Amino acid sequence: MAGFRNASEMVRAQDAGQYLYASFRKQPTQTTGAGVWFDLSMSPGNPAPNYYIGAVGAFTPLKQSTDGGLRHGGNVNALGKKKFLRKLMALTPTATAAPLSCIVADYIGFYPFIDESVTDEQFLDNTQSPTRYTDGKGVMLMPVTVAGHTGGQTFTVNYTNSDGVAGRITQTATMSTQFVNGTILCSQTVGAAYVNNGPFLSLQRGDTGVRSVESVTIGGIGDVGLFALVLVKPLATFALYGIDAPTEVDYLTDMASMPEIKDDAYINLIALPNGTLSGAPIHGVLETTWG
Amino acid sequence: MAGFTGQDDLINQVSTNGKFYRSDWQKSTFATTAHTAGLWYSLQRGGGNPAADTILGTGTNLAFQALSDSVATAGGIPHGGNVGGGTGYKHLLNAAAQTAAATTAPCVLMLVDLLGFYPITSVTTTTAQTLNNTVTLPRYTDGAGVQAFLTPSTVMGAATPNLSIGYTNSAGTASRATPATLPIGNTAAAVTSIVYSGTGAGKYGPFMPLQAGDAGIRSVQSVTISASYLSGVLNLVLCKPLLTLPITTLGVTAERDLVNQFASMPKVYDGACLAWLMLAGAATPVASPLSGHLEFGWS
Repeated sequence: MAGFRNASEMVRAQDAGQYLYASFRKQPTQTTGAGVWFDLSMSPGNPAPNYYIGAVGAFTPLKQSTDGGLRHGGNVNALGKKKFLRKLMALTPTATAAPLSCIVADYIGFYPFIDESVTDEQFLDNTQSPTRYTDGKGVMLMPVTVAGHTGGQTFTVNYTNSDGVAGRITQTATMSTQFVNGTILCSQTVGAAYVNNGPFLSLQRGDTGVRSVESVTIGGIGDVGLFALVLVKPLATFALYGIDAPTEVDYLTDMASMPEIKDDAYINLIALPNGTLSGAPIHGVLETTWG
Repeated sequence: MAGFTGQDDLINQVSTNGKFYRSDWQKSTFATTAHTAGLWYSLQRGGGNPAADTILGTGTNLAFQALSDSVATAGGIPHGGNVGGGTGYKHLLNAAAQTAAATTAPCVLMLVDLLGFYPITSVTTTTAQTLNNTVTLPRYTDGAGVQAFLTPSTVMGAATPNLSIGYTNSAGTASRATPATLPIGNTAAAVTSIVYSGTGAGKYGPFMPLQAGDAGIRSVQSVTISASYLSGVLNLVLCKPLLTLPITTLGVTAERDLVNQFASMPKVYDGACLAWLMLAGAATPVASPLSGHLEFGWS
């Protein structure tokens, strides 16, 4: 049976080579602001940046095999196994990048190039479907800036929730005035206009996940930018506290959770900066195990 | 059998059986009124994910209404639905929270299971008001560990009345009373604030003090507001505190491993309506966002 029945099995799996150390380095060039979440997948480094390229408004799945992302090893489900995030180490030598809260997420896919200047309802294309978390449980919506704008306009998203109920509408979010690519559009902080903002769009009351997105409606007078609407499944959290020591998390003994990583998942990071991340390398190692 | 027989069983349930749920939440402080340092607030009415509650202040005056995760207007943080047909429970394994909003840290968050509330629109009545307990506690039915707090859903008037309740404790003993010194309500207490919290004489937080020897509330029979509060709507909320999570520094994630670090693994019962209370450590602007996650496991 896939998974580990006890600690002994986990150790034996590691001894048998069912274990991967995979390093990463993300080094943003963008000037970020304090308190606005930022998508590190769009930053240079290793793995290579992701640009959210696809047909306008058409759902585009993200996969390790075609798009990269943080390496976590090959597919294991067909072997009767499951893969888990076991440990993570991360550090930065750059003072302006600390402290830094981060979320490891599975980027399931995205709807490219949503036009902030179009105030008519923009209908999206779901010809392709997600290949992971297909029921939408725990899947969040993350709008990411891919072409700069002014900010301050509102928008809502019409989606199908994880129970399969269509026509659900997010709470109204207000676009961040931070405009660099990679800015999570709905995460500007403080001020009554931004009350629903955070790393992910606020769903309709009672909803806990998103299966698909049907349309986006830009409010106010619109804006000049573009964003990608990304479906993500948050997996794990870690934080950099300073530049004097790396952060180490054992997701078994420090945070009893061991989040599962699905076959061919596209894994990357989002971060909550306390200042600019420009030029700040974030080094780390993911350790995964399967059994 | 619910719960875990040991570390191996936890590993097996989480990894092999997939009995694990992660809930990412984000809540902003109330959009209308800034937080005052030293006061407690409920984040239930703040915007975010889950959306702000709209249920406090509604319903029949003085009548208890039960809250659960299936009441969409209650705005409870999701925890993955029922695992025991409505009577089971999960364990909270990990919790984290962070904020990078100016002056939002330090603060202390307390996760509570909101069990229900008595709306009180008759805030100018200065005699003891009898509460309606036709509906009873949906969880923690004996009242063990259950606490109460008072929070407005409409801003209160410019008055500072003493506040007290008469209740049945978790041992089933009736006619228990709030001890002296009675909590004193804050003047013009803001929506989401806990009205008697703060610093100085007559200030408590976040919960109403219980009579000596008591460890919980099974039901509340009366509430007394010593002088007219002039206007506003109060809510007497019953809850079960589950964990405390201090955020010390802007941008620094507060983390709690409730298995190995703070071995406690609080139970989260089917139907739990989870929400955060917040002790503001500094004057906190309106709509300041906090975010984080909760992780649950079960057998």
